[in-house]
Amino acid sequence: MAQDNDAPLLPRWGYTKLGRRKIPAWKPALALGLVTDGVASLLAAFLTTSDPFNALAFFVFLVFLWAPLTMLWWVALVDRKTVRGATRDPEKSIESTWYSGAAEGVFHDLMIIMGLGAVATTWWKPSFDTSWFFLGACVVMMLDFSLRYAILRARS
Amino acid sequence: MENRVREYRNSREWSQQHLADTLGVSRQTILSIEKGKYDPSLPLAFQMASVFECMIEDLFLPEL
Repeated sequence: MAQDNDAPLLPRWGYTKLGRRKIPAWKPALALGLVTDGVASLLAAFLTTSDPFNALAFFVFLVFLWAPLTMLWWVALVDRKTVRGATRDPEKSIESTWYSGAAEGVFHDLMIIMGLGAVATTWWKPSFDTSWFFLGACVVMMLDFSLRYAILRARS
Repeated sequence: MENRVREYRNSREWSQQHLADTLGVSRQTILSIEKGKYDPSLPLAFQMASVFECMIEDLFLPEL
């Protein structure tokens, strides 16, 4: 967003959209990220093994979930108009069109892949871990989206 | 769709970034519109006409 010379400098990570006070969004996001990280890691530690408590699982989840959970909270809490340098109306920008186009392409790809998969598994009964299947599907969708977005961007 | 956005912008000696900031969109959006690679939404087209103080049909020319 463009800022006038007289306008106060906006914080790098913006303010929260809740409440009347101007609270830097990173502060509650960090706190809530840590809390939800702790809860999720405890759950993971109890649920991943038959042991009463798996300390390794707890620390692995604690380390790797903290950043994505904090970012999710930040996305949920921040008033994007208060983020320094952010475009005021991103929906009107061409990047929004690229995003929509890429998402539409991924949806159609997914329909084809799932349809073919449904036909194939009529005869072929694979035995693999379903968590790996979903993880693989997520990675394929992200790569597909990135590729389609890059192509649309290059064409513009 | 053809357009005269670059012409109008140059007549006011505005940079692409200035126009983008005024409209609240990214500079890439202005670049793509000027190159004719992106047709803006109707609200954005009206906003551009308002910024340039002209009619929308003065700014965007339909390909017949």
